[in-house]
Amino acid sequence: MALPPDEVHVWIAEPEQLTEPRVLEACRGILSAQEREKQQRFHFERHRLQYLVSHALVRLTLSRYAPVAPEAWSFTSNAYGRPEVQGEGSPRLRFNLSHTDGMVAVAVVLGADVGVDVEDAQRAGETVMVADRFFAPSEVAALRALEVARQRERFFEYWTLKEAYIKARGMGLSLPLEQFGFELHPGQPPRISFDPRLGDEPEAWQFVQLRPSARHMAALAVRRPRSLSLKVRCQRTVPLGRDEPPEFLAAQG
Amino acid sequence: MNREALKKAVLEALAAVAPELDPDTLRPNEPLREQLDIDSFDFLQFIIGLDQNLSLSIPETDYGRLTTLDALVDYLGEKLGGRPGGK
Repeated sequence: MALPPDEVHVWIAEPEQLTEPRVLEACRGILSAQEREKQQRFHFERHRLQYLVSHALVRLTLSRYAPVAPEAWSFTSNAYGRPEVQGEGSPRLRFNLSHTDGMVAVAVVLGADVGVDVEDAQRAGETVMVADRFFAPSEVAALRALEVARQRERFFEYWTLKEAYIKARGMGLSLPLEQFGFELHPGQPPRISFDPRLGDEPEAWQFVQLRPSARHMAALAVRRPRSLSLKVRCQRTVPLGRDEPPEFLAAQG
Repeated sequence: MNREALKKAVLEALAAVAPELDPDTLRPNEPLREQLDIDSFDFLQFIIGLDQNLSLSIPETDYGRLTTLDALVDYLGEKLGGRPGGK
């Protein structure tokens, strides 16, 4: 499959759709020995299934774009643990993986930093308290100005965007979440602003929000100047099964 | 605060994000993330819980040390050890 430089492709799967033992076994067959070992170390079966489907999806997805068999990909991790494609396969092919209860997403792009985050917006846990403690003051103020019934959804809008950004930077939570903030206005793409300590440039990034299901929210971060066009191609798939038709979204820079 | 008490405080904060966990089955020297699939959202809930249970504030720069149960107990021991009148 072609991956034009002005496109980012997002592949989405639902782990619970994989139920046939034969298919699960075939997915295991694609993973490396190290991945299979890691998969077995999770305490709970649902985490083992998520890991299996996530990592099979990464391999099957990458193989759509390069003449490399799914089981033949090898990966290296950066200093903060983010995996990258290693070796000769297609050095410019970059990807990022996210999973949450009920959904897995892989974003792929050519030669650019990319981050994706998908969240189950119905998951248990504190939201406004997390924002108070960890988010940028502008985000906390905007969140608190909303009526209580809308705060949780807005929290996950910020959260997925913030996660997508720190994942694109490849640095995880060592990037303080309070040092960058998003502004959200209906009909406009999300805008980021940075604390000078972070030394980053808002014009260098594009962000796209996705709503992959009623229960799930997602966001994408791509390091691509806002002055350039960016098309998002989003497609659901069942690993080793069938693909749904793609959907296209345009990020207005 | 001794190691057992610190461990108890860690497991209490962990129970909030992994309520089904039987703490006895946790492997103390393996990353929690790799046993329980703790993601960033869970992790920050866990940090808030620890802060509350132990009345401290863990800076982001130390997150990299908070990997395993043993490492957490070591870290908290150091962090609270130097505090006069620490619980």
